[in-house]
Amino acid sequence: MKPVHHYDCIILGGGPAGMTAGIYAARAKLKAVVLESNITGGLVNSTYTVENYPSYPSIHGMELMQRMREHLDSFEVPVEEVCEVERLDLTGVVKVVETDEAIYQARAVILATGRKPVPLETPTPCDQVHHCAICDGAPYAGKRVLVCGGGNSAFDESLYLLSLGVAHITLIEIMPRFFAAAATQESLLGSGKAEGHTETRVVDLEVAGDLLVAAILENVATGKTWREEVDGVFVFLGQRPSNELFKDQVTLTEAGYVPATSDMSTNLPGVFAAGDIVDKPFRQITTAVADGTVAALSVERFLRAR
Amino acid sequence: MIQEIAQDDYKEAIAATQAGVLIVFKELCPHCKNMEKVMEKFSALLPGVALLGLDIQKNPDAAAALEAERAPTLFVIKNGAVAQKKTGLMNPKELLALYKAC
Ligand SMILES: Cc1cc2nc3c(=O)[nH]c(=O)nc-3n(C[C@H](O)[C@H](O)[C@H](O)COP(=O)(O)OP(=O)(O)OC[C@H]3O[C@@H](n4cnc5c(N)ncnc54)[C@H](O)[C@@H]3O)c2cc1C
Repeated sequence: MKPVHHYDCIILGGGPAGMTAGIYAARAKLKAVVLESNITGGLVNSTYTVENYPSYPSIHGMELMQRMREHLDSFEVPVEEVCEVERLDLTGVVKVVETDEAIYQARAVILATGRKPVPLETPTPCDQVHHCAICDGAPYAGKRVLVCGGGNSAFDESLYLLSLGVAHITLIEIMPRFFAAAATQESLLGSGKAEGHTETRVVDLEVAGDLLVAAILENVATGKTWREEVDGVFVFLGQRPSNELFKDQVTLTEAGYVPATSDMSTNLPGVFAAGDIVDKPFRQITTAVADGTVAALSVERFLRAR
Repeated sequence: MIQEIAQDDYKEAIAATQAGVLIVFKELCPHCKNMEKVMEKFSALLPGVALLGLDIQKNPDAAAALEAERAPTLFVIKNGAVAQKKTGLMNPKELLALYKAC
């Protein structure tokens, strides 16, 4: 029998939105718990430098998230990391979240599950396909890599890879132009160590033994294919909302985001949303933190009104 | 609790471990932090297994000798020797299965 824990509010996801919600919930004297499938920090953990979070002109993403976590811990809000949610029932007055280890019950839930990277789909599986340059970049010093994606993340992470000593970068984008800031494009493509191809996609990967040896690329406009010798692939193709747990219970937009109202409430009473999972025009740490604030204060108002 | 070992003592530490899991990790690496948490949950499922950690950046020679190119890389240690190696992410149950399989 799994133990049953009773809380005022369950926060699903421990990124900036979820952790901020935890801080505000604790300040409002609510008994809250954060359930996180990975470790706290979310997407920011794999961001090399954050330069737009007020109070830190420049800070490593993981360090910023460690500080946010220490702030949350100072309120003694329990955080369950590496926990797998097996069942979620949001429809009743009492919401139920069952993880691999315990059952949690509360009258309010904040959905702060954010987004996760779009994977590269190729017929040949390969261990040298990565989504985080900070985590996996170092072994590629002196080697050649392929970077998929033409947005700011792809260009920023490519510059980071060059700073690690990567010998050459081939960057590809399927659309007819790159979308990264012009200055970043110039820095990378002017480095003499990188080339960019638009209207290009990966058709397959060539693996010898356990090691990647080349990527087969295709120009989607001309249909021409070619073989690019690379030792690793870094994928920055954007993000998809992490809604698998509640997509059958909460109303979502066509793209899979939660259309929350200005107090971050969803279509279900007692269920609120915060951060990147919300349908909104700008997804940043500051906007996630703002959503987490509003969601927690709305939970307080919701519970006190009952 | 993961006990950190280093270049100077890693051979002795492995040789002295009857049952253990060693993580080769890197500071400021989210996947490594995740696996450290997984190791703690694994040790709750199977108490008595020693948890060891080796920083790949501070101890590059030891990491190279262990053939740990990437972080996180995990090693199952049984009877004072490496019995299994696996790179990347696992959940606590998968780590338990890996541990029990060798
Ligand atoms: C490469 C990159 C660089 C960026 N750089 C910047 C920047 O410099 N400045 C800036 O302001 N913003 C930046 N952003 C955007 C910023 O990271 C996001 O806006 C912010 O992280 C959103 O926070 P969040 O808490 O909503 O979601 P996330 O950070 O995605 O956190 C969601 C959390 O929920 C967890 N979760 C998911 N599903 C479940 C589940 N089923 N059960 C439990 N937990 C779950 C996840 O593991 C994760 O920890 C960047 C984004 C990317 C991808």
